[in-house]
Amino acid sequence: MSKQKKDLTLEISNWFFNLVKKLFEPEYVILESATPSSILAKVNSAHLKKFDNYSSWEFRPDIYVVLKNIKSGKQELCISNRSDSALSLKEIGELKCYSQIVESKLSLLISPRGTSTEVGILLSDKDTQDRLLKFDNNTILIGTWDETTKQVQSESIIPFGHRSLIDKINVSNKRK
Amino acid sequence: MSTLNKILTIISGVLKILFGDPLDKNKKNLTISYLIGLITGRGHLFRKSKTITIEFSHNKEISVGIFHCAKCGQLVTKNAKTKVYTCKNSSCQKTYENSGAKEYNAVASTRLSLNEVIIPLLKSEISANFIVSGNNATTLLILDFKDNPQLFEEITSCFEGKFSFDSFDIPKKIHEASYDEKIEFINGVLDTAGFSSPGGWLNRDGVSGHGRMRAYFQIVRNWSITVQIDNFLRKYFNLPVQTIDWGHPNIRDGNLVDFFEGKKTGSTREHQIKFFPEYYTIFKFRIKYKADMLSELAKHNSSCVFENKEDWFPPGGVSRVKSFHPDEADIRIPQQARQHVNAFWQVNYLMGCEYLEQLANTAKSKDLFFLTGNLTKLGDDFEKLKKEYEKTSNNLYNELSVQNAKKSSTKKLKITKADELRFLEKDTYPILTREIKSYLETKYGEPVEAFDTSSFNLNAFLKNQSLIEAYDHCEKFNIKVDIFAFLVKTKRIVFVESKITNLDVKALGQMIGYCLVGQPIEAILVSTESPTASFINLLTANPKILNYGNDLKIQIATLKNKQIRFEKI
Repeated sequence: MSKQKKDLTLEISNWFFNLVKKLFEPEYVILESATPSSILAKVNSAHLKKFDNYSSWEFRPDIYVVLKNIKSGKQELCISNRSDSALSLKEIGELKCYSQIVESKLSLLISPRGTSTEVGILLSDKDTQDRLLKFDNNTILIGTWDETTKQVQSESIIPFGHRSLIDKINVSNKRK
Repeated sequence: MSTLNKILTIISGVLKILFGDPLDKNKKNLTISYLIGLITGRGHLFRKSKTITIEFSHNKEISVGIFHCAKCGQLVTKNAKTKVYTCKNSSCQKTYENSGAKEYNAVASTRLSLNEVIIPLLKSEISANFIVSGNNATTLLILDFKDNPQLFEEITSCFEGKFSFDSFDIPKKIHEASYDEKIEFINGVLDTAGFSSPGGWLNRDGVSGHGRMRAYFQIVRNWSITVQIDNFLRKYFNLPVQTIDWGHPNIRDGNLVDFFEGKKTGSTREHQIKFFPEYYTIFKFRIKYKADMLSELAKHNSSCVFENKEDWFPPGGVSRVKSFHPDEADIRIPQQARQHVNAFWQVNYLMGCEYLEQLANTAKSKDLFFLTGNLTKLGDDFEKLKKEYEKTSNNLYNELSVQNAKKSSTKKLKITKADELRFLEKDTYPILTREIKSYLETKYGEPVEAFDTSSFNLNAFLKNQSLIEAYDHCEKFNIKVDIFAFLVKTKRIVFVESKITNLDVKALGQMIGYCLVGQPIEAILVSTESPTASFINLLTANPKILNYGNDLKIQIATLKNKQIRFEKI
């Protein structure tokens, strides 16, 4: 991975970690956050190994965060993929597969270029948007990374109804 | 207020309640006409979800205006090789290191114009939910009519069952509309499909200046509406069009430069209807940076004083015979225009230009008129002339082929790993096309057409094969599948993706994306390599990731010994 890509991944992973914290604490505690260099099945993580079927997880998301529900003790996973180029159906399909496999609590697809125009148009149709982004009882979120402010632009978030979610984290980051 | 005025006010109010305020109705019609123009230019209709999405493209974030010399006020242009800016005035020729042209932030201006001008305008008469989305290349305006389905039907019915700007005609409603409504329609088309960049200026000398600026409508993948817009401007406004730069191989790649560089899609780009802005002042852009740039162009032309309208109609004939181009028969070109041409106006004629049709009817020989532009000669020599032109055309092609063969033999060929893989993957397509056709015909008991679509955008391919009528989701396909199969009787589709490496979740994910959009009745992910045990393991543990619809799931297969073998998951 080039230095530029590594830096981008690091910046996004910091932001993603803060997002997960903001959204799920105090009901959940964060056990681990990482940008894995191998497929999840081969990551030497005691937390990952507690997931059912982890050994079949022969894929590598760019960022993962392991959470634990304080009440139930159940572990859950949040994942994010990032791309340098405009997001296409390929990236959406890929993250959708990963999300279904790990039953992720939060899935986020990010690029500094947002979605490609064709995908943006497809996602403007609610039916197609639901088919592409929804999985189980959850949805993939897509956003544009702002390289100046080092955060996801809330007005870029799809589905549109989730923009206020990102607003919260961006506002609280601003205050800091 | 006097008693008389009070009475008149009351009567006016009652009449408005009974019959509606004509001014209000007029304003609504103007707004709807503008919206129809926006949609015609770059709109997508999603009938199930009752949404309309409109694209505002701005390929470069910063657009640049005209650079005028600080010394003499004449045009300054940049030398591509030396990168130096030089005044075009031969008596001045002042040079500059940097451009002095005004810069416009196209992205910011588009968004601001949408939020402050266009959406408020539309909202004042149209009850819908407005959302702005997009990226640095395109801003999207999404109109959600789910709470106002009646208005959605009223607007979309204008487009006669079509879904997207690349197949729309100018609606009948607009032809029947008032003069002002027609103006608003064109304003809408301009805001989405109009561009006022100074880069396309003509090398012309005016009375007091050089370089004639042009603006243009950029029409993407829609051959019919290109000539319709020309005819519309001519018929209702008596406006000249300078030229139509068609995305036809003979017009865009007449010397086969793109072709010999291996750029296959170079000859099927957008069409540009070019005009001189000083004649189009009755229209306006509401996107501010476009309006400002158009104003620059018009001012420049006015100050240079050009006296010739330079309308392409009537055509000047055929100045030279062009080389044969192998892409003349490309299926992405509509049937009418899928032939050799030597002049752009011939494409206008083939695509149904009313004015050329009328002119052709006055010709002594229609065939000869099409071939040469001549109206007065009889067609006795037509066949002989046609053969001569064909011979010239073929000879030109042979000369160009020889020249380019010499060039490429001196180039060091660099084959990358990706090229090697691509080459081998390409080898599987003919086999798969044949095998899939046979498999589907046996399974479904009906004729099947199967095509290698790896080089085509599926949307464009379906449109030109007239298959688009058969499948109403086709408009949404802006994806490339390797093999596309079509069950002719029941009009159902099948996708096939071919790999020559071990299948993995990434490959599956790509296909899932395509299938979630296209919803084919079958989707097959096939590789020349057998699936690994770990991949089978993953799919067995998570079979739901193969699903893309009700009882629809991707099938995993292997291509071995020219036969497809399905894996049982």
